[in-house]
Parts: sequence; C-alpha cells; structure tokens
Amino acid sequence: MKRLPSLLAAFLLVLALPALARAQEKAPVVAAAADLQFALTEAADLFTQQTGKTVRLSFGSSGNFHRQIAEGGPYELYLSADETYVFDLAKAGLTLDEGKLYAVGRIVLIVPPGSPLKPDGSLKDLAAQLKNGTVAKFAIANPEHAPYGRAARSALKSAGLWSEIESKLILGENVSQAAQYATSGSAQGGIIAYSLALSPKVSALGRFDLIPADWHDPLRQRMALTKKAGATAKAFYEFLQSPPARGIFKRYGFVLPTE
Amino acid sequence: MDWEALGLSLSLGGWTIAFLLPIGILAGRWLAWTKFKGKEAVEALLALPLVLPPTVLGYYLLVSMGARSPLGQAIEAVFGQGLVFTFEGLVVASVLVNLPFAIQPMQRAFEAIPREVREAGACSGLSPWRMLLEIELPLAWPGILTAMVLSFTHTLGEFGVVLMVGGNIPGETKTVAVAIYDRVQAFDSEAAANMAALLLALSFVTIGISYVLGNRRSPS
Amino acid sequence: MALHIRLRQNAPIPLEASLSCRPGEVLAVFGPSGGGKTTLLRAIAGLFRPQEGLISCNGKVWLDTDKGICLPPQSRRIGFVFQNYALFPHMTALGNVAAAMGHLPSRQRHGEARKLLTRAGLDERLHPRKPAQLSGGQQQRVAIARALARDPEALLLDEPFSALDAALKKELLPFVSRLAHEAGIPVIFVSHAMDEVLQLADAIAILNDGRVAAQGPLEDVLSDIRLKPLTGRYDAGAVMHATIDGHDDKFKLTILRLKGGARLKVGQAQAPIGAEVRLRIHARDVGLALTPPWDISIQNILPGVVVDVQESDGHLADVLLHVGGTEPDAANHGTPLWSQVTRYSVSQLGLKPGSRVYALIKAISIARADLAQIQR
Repeated sequence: MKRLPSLLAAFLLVLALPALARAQEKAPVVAAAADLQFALTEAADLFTQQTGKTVRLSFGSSGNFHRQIAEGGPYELYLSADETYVFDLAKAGLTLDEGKLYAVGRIVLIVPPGSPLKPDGSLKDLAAQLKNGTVAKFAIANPEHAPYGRAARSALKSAGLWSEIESKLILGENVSQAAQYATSGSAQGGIIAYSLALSPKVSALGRFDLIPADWHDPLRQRMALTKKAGATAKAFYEFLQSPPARGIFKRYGFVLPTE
Repeated sequence: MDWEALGLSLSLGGWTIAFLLPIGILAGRWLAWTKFKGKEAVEALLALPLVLPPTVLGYYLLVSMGARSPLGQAIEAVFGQGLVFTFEGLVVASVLVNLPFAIQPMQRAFEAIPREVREAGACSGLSPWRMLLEIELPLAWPGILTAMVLSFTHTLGEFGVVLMVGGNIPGETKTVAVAIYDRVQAFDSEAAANMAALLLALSFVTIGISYVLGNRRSPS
Repeated sequence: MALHIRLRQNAPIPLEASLSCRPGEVLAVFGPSGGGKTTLLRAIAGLFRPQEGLISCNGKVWLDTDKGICLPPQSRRIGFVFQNYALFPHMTALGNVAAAMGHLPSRQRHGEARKLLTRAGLDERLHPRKPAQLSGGQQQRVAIARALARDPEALLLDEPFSALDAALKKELLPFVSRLAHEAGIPVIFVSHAMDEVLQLADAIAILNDGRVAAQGPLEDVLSDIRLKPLTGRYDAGAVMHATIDGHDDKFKLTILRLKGGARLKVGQAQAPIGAEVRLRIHARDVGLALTPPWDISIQNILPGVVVDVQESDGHLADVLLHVGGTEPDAANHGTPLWSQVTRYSVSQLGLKPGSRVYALIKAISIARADLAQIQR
C-alpha cells in the first residue's frame, strides 16, 4: 500500500503521454501510397537533415487514405498513387488545389527464390506455368482501392491471363502488403511496384522484371496539400519537388514528370 | 522498437480503464442486483463486442462519429476537432469494445456478495455511499481488478477497431498492435519481432495477474 | 414508546398482521416455516415494502402506505440479527460492530465497539478475528453486538438460534434473553421452536399462513387449548408463572410456588430462591383423581376445580382445571392447567365443570426445557 502513490503517479504519467507528445512536436502527418514506403522514408530523412523539421509518414493504399481524408482524417499532405483520388478531393474542397504530379510508377513481376516462375516481364513464362498448374498463389494489391492493384489487373488482362489467374490471387491491402505476400515464399510470385522491388530489403527476397508500361494505364502519382496543412507540410511539399528529392524518386525507378 | 507506439498503447489502455472503472462499477452493480424487463437484452447488448468482428464495430463507429455524420459534426463544432482518426476517438472506441471485459467480471463480483450482507449493512445504518466504500468495493475488489487487467490487456491487443477508427497515424493512433502490422509491411521484421515479443510478454504478465487474483478470491 | 405494526397484503406472500410491542418486552412471532414470519420482520426493518401497512416506533412513522411514507432501513433505528448473522466477512469482529456506529464520531467507535463486544461475551482476544475464524456461537455474539451498536429503538431477531447446535443454544439462550430485556426497547423475535419462545418471550403472536391467529401474554396464548393445532399437538400444555420457593439439595429437587399458593416439586433448576420462572406442564403429563391418593410415587398432587371439558371425536378429551386456589373460589384465583385424559375416564369419573379433582403431575415430567427463568 506504500507503493500506491508512486503507482498512481506512473499511471497518470502514462495517461498524459499523448498530450505530452502532442505538445512537444506538431510534426505533420503525411498520407502516402504504399509504393513510396522506401523512397519517401529516404526523402523524409533527407528533409529532416536539411531543415531540422520532421514529418510523420503513414503508408497505406491510396484509396483508403482518400476515404480517411474525406472522413476528416488529420493528414496535411497526401501522396496518392492515382491522381484521380487527388482530383476528387480537390473537387470536394478538401485540398488546397489540384496539387502536383510527382512521379509515374511502373510495375514488375517478382518471383521469390525456389519459385517455378521465371522473372519474365512479358508474362509468357507465367502463362506457361499457369497451364502447367505450378502456380498456386499469386499476389497483387487489391484493385478495389489500390492503384497498383488496378495496374496489375490491367497487365494480367492484357496478357490474357486474368480469368485463369483470378482464382489464385491473394490480395494485399496495399501494394506493400502485396510485396510482402509475393516474396514470403508462400506464393509463387506477384506483381508489385518497381519502386518497392528496387529497395535493398525487397530485392534481396526475389528477382524481378519490368512489365511493359503500355499494358496498363499510366500510374500518374499526384500529391496535394490538404486544408489542414501547416508550414512544415508546405515546406516538405516544396522539398519533394526539389532536385535532391527527385533524385531519390528517380533512383527508386519512378519516371519523373517534366512539367 | 517503436517507443512512441508503445507509449500510445499504454496510454490508451490507461484511459480506457480510467473510464471503465466507474462505468463498470455502476453497470455491474445495476445488473447484479436489479431485476427488470429486458435485462437479458441489455446484457446481450453489452456482451456483443465479445463476439462481433472488430470491423463491424469499427464500421459503425466510423459512420456514427465521422465528419459526415450529425454526431461527428456536433463533436467537431463543440471541440473544434472530430473523433475519427484521433486519440480521443480511439479512447471512445476502446471503451465501447471493452465494455464486456469490464462489466462482466464486476457483475459476477457484485453478484457474489450475499444479499443478506448488503441488507445487514442497510440495517446497520450504512448510507449507500458508505455501503459502496466499506462493504461492496472491498468485497468485490478482486473482480474489479480482474476487470481492469483484462480491459487493459485487451486494449493493448486491439487491432481491427484501432485501424478502422484511428487510421495509422504515428504518435496519434498508431498503437503497438498496428505498428507491428506496419513494420511487417515495411519489411522491417526485426522491429516487428521485438514489438510482438514485448506485447506477448506484457499480455502474459497481466493475464497472469488476473488469474492469481481469481485464485486468491475463490477460497474465502 | 412502543412499536406498532399493521400490515396487509395478498401477494406475493399473503400477510395480515396487527401487532404491538412495548419497550422492554420480548414478543415472539411463532409459527411454522413459510408462515410469513421472516417477511413480517423484513417489513418492519424496511427491507421489504408491503402493499398496505402502517408501522411506527417511538412515535415516529416508519411506514405509512396511505401517505406514501416508507423509510429505508438506514432511517429506521433498528437492530437486526439475521438468521445466518450476515456478518461483514472482510471486517474483524470489532470492525463489524464499529461499522454500525455511524451515529458516533469515528474516534469513539472502536472504544464503544470493544465495550459492546465484551458485554456480548466475546473475549477481547477474539475482537481482531474475521467472522470466518469465529465459531457459530461467537459469530452470534458479534451479530447481536452489531445489532445493538446502532443504539436501536427496536431489536429484531430472525431465528437467531437455528444455526446453532443444542449445547450452544442452551448456553446462548439465557444470555440473549438478558441482553434483550436489558436493552429496554421493543424486541421482536421470530422462531419456530417452542423452547426458545418459552425462554425468551413475554408475549407471543402466532402466525399461520401470514395471518396472526392469536396474540397476547405467553401464559394466556399457550394455555388456550383452541390454539393446539398451531402451538403444536405435543407441545400443548399450560404455561404458568411460578416462584422458586426452595431447593432440596439432598434429593436434587426444586420446590416452586404457583399463583394461589400451590407447591410443585420439579427436578433441580439453576435459579436462586425468589426468582420468577415460567413453567410449562404438558397436558398429557397431568392425570386426574377424585380423591387424593396416598401411597403413590407422584409427588405433585394439586387440588383443583374443573372449568371446561372438551371431548374430541377420538378417544381423547381435554380438561381445563384451575389448581392451587383456596376454596371456595379456586376457579377465580388458581392457576389454569390442562389435563389430557381418555373420554372413558371423563365418563367414569363423571367430570364436568365444577367437579373437584386432584391433578397428579410427575416431577420428572417437567423437563429442563419446560422451565425458564424470567429476566426482568
């Protein structure tokens, strides 16, 4: 019973943690498409190095973030993998403007070690292996709300494999989860973002090959500041359009807009 | 290791039980000692979170507290901030999800107090307030503590509702359970493994405490 | 200053009772189990709200259903001893008693509780024990001390001896009787055991199916042969007052003097000379003779007058006589006594109201449980 006061004090301190954290730093929250998992983390670190300011990154599917921002989510900057989501929010008046195109994404076929599949971007080997029945599971992002999932679906349709492969698909909630599934070894392969495949962590887990860009609608990735954006978010937004940030995006396989 | 997420989880657990303690005591006593029409319906309603998928609860909370709902707009008008995707929103959700974990053990504990002992208290002139403090709470405290430990532990492990209502916002709604999910997607298995082990240990210790309390209570 | 009770309801348990209890009086509510005794007590305590009723104590109205008054137990100054004591299990014996002393400043409570527990006969060493560490009898002492701790205006006891074995009961009965009478407040005591009633009560109310079938001083009610079905067939008998007249230490006998002067020898009783006792003589233990027999082992041969003869449909008859009075108006000044004999005997002896008879009572037929010292 003598320890009661100190226990109580510890309990109250724990209760106060979120408030303390909030008072201490008002780092803006950035909602980013999952294909930016590695590229944007690197860019944010560079931003902090250069300016001393920090941002908090939240990765997920572009479609989910679109819904959360529409519901009043506290995000200050939104980096979508599909520009139509940004236009939609702009029309609803939730962003400051229609934002900026910051990258165009590509997709790859990735196969983990030990898979019967060859890393063949033309998907000819995938077609052959599907006929052989050696492909039991194949990972893509959920086309319902993940732009990279939609691109993967288009590519599989272009190759004439959609109806055959549909029953074997495992759908990641976002493209990062799809990459996780594709390289876990439980699936024979998957279609994921080039930007993820190029990161050291993922490339160590499988071999990959680019899928022709004209097999799907271009993955025009657009970002915009929301109505809640503060100074730090705006500075980060500017930073992402600067040469050092563009260099990072380029290294992760993005095609950069020329505008 | 994401210390911010851990702090957030502990804090969420703390706030949850801080709200559930008075709610559970009032509701537990009421259900233990009152007979009324539709009591079973009330009990079933309170037990729903035990069986309902967290996503169902998350969906309804999102719909009812979201920026487009009348309630969400009213909250935003009063507090200048909505509940969805905020820590406060998580606390509300967590309190609702944990109602059965708090109320049921407390109800059992209050039911275990013999009616005659409470009547003896009344006949000894103890006011309702003194009855609560001197008779009911001392006799029911193992059940109350069990309820608090269960709710706290369950809050640490809650995932579905947190993700749906809170999003995944670092420092605001990204709890340890969500951070583990996040780290796995970021191919950061080391951090995921550390946090998973910590959550496992923490849950084991707290559940263990509730069993120790439960065993101590039975022989009286 | 008295406690007045009037209750009526049809459901869930039918109840119809109108009772009064004076300060210093112990009123026994007697009747078979399930007869509504406990419900009646709970209604007095405020633990149960009857459909219709009026209860007042010491001039204060506790319940008046017509006016919508129903005070909670906290506002009725009662002491309640529960059948299973219902002690607070997490508190010590001392804590149990102190908890009921809300009317005293908290500094005084423990001192007063200690005094009260000691008066209730609980050794000081047992005061810090929890109820689970006390025997049944010790728990009962704590329960009674707790009931008195509130400085009550009425004391209610619900079958306080039913959880005790015979030996403990024998030890505790006189103690409870003394405490109850010392308290100087109305005491209502619920029981279904006649020996407890004889020992404790001054007045009795017989409750049957929720209805008060008879009430009055113990001697009057228990001598009313019409109540035999309720007071118990084999318990039927006359209850009378007597005074200890002397002890015969050589033959271990005690001599009692009845109202009207008749003397009665019984087995030795633990009461001083001059003490008032209550005595019950079972009707079946009383024989009748027209002339006093000389050479007989029966010690008690009391002259009396037949007052009433009630013949049953079977072989039995109940004869009410008055004994111990001085002639010629024995019927007016004697002690009522019931005798149960065969109808054949009634006919043979020609017994009828006015017959002069001798009642024959074996000394050993009066058991210890039939004799109780009256606490005043």
